[in-house]
Amino acid sequence: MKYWVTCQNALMTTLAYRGNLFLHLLTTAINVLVTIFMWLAVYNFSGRSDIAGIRPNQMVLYLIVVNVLALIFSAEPIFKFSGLVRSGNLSVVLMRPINYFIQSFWDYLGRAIPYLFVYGLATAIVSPVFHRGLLYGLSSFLLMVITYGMFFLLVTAISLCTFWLVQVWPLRPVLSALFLLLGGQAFPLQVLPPAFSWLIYNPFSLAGNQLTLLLLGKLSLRQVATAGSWAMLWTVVTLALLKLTWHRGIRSYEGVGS
Amino acid sequence: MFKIYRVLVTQSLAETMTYRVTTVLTALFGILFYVIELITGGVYFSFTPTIYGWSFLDYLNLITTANLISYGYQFLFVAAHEDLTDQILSGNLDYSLLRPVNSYWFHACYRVDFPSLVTLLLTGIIEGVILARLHPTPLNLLLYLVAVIVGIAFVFTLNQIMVTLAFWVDGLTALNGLPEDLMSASARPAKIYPRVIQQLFLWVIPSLAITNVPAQFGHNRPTWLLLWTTLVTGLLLVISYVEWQRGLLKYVSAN
Repeated sequence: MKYWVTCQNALMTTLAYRGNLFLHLLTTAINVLVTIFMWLAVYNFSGRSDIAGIRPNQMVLYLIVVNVLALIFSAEPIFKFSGLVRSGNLSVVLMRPINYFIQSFWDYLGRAIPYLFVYGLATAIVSPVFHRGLLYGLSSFLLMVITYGMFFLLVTAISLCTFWLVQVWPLRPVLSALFLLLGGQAFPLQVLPPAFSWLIYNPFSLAGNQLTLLLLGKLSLRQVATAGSWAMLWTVVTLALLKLTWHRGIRSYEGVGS
Repeated sequence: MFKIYRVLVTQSLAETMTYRVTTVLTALFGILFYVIELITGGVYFSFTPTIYGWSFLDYLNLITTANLISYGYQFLFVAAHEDLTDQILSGNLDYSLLRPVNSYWFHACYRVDFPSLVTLLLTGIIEGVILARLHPTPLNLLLYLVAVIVGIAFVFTLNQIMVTLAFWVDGLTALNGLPEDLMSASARPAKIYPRVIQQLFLWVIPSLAITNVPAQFGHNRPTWLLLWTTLVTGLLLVISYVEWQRGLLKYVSAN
């Protein structure tokens, strides 16, 4: 219950600054429109009705969904944790009768609720995911949950580098660039030559490209299982990394702020 | 005024030398996003040799020119603009208002961002190579340079108008990012957009013209739109100046 309050507070924070939220959504919409018009021109001038198995109307949907996912999978925990370490306020958090990582997860969830709602709604209405039988629906839901948890753990593991870095702001453009290129936000990774097909199982692609293709109904049950397995593998890797770095980091933490 | 500007530039350089790692990182990120644009452009043109008459080289010319305008603005004005909102909101303009200088230009030129100079020079070199392959005539090359300068002035005025809104609007930080998003959306061939959007951003808020016009001069397709963009930029400059004067009347130093 105590973590649920965190989730509610995070949601309120997102909704409190409605002007900023609206402008943020507006600028995201502008960027999506640019990419959509560019791709429609590519379809038009290439004379192809299908690029990498994706038709023009599916490409439009792909670009919208992948950008909503980019909003869901934010890197905010890194900067929040950095603030705690730099100010020395992490000591106060550690003294509280809570698990910081669980609280951080609920905060992450709360901030993303409006975008998760949009993704959920699109999955329920537009996507064929839940019309392909119980097994497919359940596997798809599991893939979404595992990927969400995996990405949160990944971002949290990255946030621990704060123990050794003075400034973490450079991570923001790097992570944006990784999501653009490796997450399939700039273009679906399937349009790349076959030599790059292994890229689709990187964590950013699982969160962006694969979850978008899932919504479009482009993944077979076998592909859902493969993506799920990779997400599990990345979860184990990030958990191990988290455990290792946390113990080392907390030993180097002085708690006096900088 | 030039003497004061020289002092401000010297101070900016001293700050840059203090934060050397930041300088290197800013330059690296600039290059990183340019490379992403190149890869994305490469993907588009791997399916078709031309889009609305633009070849891959023309497209490269367009996005590099757009980056040149963007980095030109960043080098000359972005640090001052980032600082200005805080100065207005925290009531710190008093000190500069007491000085015998034009407060509008003093705050607009308060700092230059040397890290952006690295990316500006790199982009300039790449654009030089592209132009060498496109072979513009000397007159078109000259008008290309004029169009880039007008472009930098246009981006400056848009940002100046947004930042000065801090005299009236508090906390709407996302507003300051609008010009950047508008310009990055404009770094595409105008013809990919529906006619209404084209007309709006070529004639009313000519951000598409600002990026497309110099690129057209680069590949020897001169256009009268340059006159229009110059006129609109001049008008926006006047508007931003009047807005600043009005803002100062509203300014309360005990914020």
